[in-house]
Amino acid sequence: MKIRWMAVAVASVLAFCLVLAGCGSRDAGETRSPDASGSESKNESTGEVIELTMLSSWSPDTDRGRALHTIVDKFNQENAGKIKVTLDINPDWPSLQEKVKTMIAANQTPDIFNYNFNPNDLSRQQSGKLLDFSPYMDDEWRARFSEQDLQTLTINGELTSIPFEKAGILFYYNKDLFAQAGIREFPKTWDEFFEVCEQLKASGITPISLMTSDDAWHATNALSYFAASLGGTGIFDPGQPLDSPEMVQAAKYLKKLFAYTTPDALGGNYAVSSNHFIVGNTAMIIDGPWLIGSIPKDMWPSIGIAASPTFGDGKVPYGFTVTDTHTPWAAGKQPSKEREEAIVQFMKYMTSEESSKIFTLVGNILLSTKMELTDEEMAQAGPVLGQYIKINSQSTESLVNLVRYLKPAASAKIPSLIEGLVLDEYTPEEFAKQLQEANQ
Amino acid sequence: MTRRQLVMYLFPALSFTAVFFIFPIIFVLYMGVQEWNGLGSFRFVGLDNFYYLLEDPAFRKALVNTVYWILAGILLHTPLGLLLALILFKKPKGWKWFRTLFFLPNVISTTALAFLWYFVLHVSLGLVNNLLKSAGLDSLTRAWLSDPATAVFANMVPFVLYVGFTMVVFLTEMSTISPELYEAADIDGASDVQKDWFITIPLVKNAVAINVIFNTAFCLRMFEYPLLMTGGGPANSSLNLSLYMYREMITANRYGISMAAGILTILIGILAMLAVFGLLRLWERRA
Repeated sequence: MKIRWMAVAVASVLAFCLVLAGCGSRDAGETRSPDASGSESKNESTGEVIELTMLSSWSPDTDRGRALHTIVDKFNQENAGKIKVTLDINPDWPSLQEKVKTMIAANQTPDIFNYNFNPNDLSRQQSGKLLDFSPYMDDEWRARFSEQDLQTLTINGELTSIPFEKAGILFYYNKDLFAQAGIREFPKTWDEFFEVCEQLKASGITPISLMTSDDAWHATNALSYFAASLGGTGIFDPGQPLDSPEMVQAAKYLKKLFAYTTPDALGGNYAVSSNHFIVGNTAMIIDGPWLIGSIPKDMWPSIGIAASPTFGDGKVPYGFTVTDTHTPWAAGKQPSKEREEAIVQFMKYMTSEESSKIFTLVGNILLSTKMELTDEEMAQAGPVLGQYIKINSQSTESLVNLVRYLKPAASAKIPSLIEGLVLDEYTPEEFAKQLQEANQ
Repeated sequence: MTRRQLVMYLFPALSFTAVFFIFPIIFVLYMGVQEWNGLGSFRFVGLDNFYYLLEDPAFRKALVNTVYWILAGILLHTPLGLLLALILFKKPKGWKWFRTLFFLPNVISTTALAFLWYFVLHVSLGLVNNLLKSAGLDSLTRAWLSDPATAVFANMVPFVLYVGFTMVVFLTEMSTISPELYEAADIDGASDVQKDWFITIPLVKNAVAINVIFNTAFCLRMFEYPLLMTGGGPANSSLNLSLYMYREMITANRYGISMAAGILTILIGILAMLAVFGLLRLWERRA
């Protein structure tokens, strides 16, 4: 009797579980329905509105967010009654990336989303759930991009990402603080750079903002610049070891640089580091154009933009740049041709010259798309962005920041490795060796 | 109550426990022996994830730090809660006000408290260093959150100090003690300390057990303070098991290793609970 009741109980629980599990996995393994992404797509054949959801981290309280909202609103107005793009904003970039991955894994790939392209992590492209734009890439649209960018983003013959943002990382410096320390111009060699750091320090000014939390962005910018200056812009190319003598030397320089930063750089995040520069606590920072939006306008005349120093040995030309990786747009495979075409129409609008200008001038974003700014538009950009665009455009060689190349496991490890290097827990040789091992 | 009624009453709770606890645990066990980066298919790797964990210095550091957290919960947080409860149990002037004040942090978000303490312990803006400087103790100032020697302990400070919940559990248990015991002790001329030591503390051993178990469980899953105050750094010096699992899953996309770490954490939790129960039983026998 007892056994029978237990059997009934277990069977009931299992039945309950199966019902719940069945509800949760109804769409598993099937092509995603238009409703799965949360967008209320109606029957396109009847000519009703096609609704698309676009995932992004660009919140409207930022310059880039304002630009994105402006463009989406304009597109929606121009296509009223036909296509409607709805923005789904999550300002937390890492969690947004994780959400996108989870949605792809769950067969609910977002209609449109952006991500950091990493040639060592092609899991999104290899999922087979992204829309291939190559059939839609006509000559007119192709001409908006550089062939190199299109080739980079073409994986196994499929163009599943549209080139968009690819910003150069440059040196910002505070001219007033430089003047206080008796420095007239930004150094052109690394020896001069460290002399400048000494001069600033001697004048009671903290030379540079650095950070080690999250992706250690400002620190890895410096590391990438040191590495490229020593080993050329091909130092991170596929197959190149990360424990090369040049990387070891770059790690030594990075450690030296930490002697010239704020006490909270170790463990500090992007906000801490960039705020130090913005409020005038530090004289330099190595960052992308998005920082401009955070600099108060009354501080703009004090801000100088410069290219990286070199070792003057010809390994890299003066003016070379470390860049952020491509942050392209991608889209999920769609259940109907109409929805695919709606996405393509929107992406063409996003990458048009007019939209590119809005993104650059309003959003302070440097794009992969081709664009020519008039003198009037350059003046409209303001002195800091104007300098930025000019120096960035003079770059003849570039490489992507190391952290964007690393495999996720190495990327997760690099903050603690840099902290260990600075705290003497690892020698520069051990730092490079561990980085190489983590990247295998 | 018939067996049929018993099963019917238990069915809803049993069902939800199965769906939302047993099945996820089975899934974690399954994932612990797989390799998966969040997309694509799983790959069976046997015990490789566990071997990796045993060899990973970051995991070992996280394990040691989690033990520090548990020890802080048992040896610092719980006794401090007991001490405060003993003081408030004597109902000094304004005791109700103090009881509310001490409990208040328990209704404030841990995230807010973590940020508050981030700024209290900040190297240049922080209250602690500025107080030390104003007291002429400049030599004692340090980067509490950025120094590997102090980071993990700096993370523990808010947890150790905010003892409101622990204190309330003790006070509740103390309120059940018969006043006659204290009256008899007064007649015998016992001091306040003797009354606490020989009457109150032995009679709140159930509350001690509850608090030790709660605090051990809380320390095992502690996440917000290490994440928000130090991010597990510098150089993993303040990493704990929860943060290690989060980092492996979210940043490194190594779900299998994260799940294997989760399995070990569950085992450690079970062992910690068994040890706590064992010690409490020993205390009971000696008493």
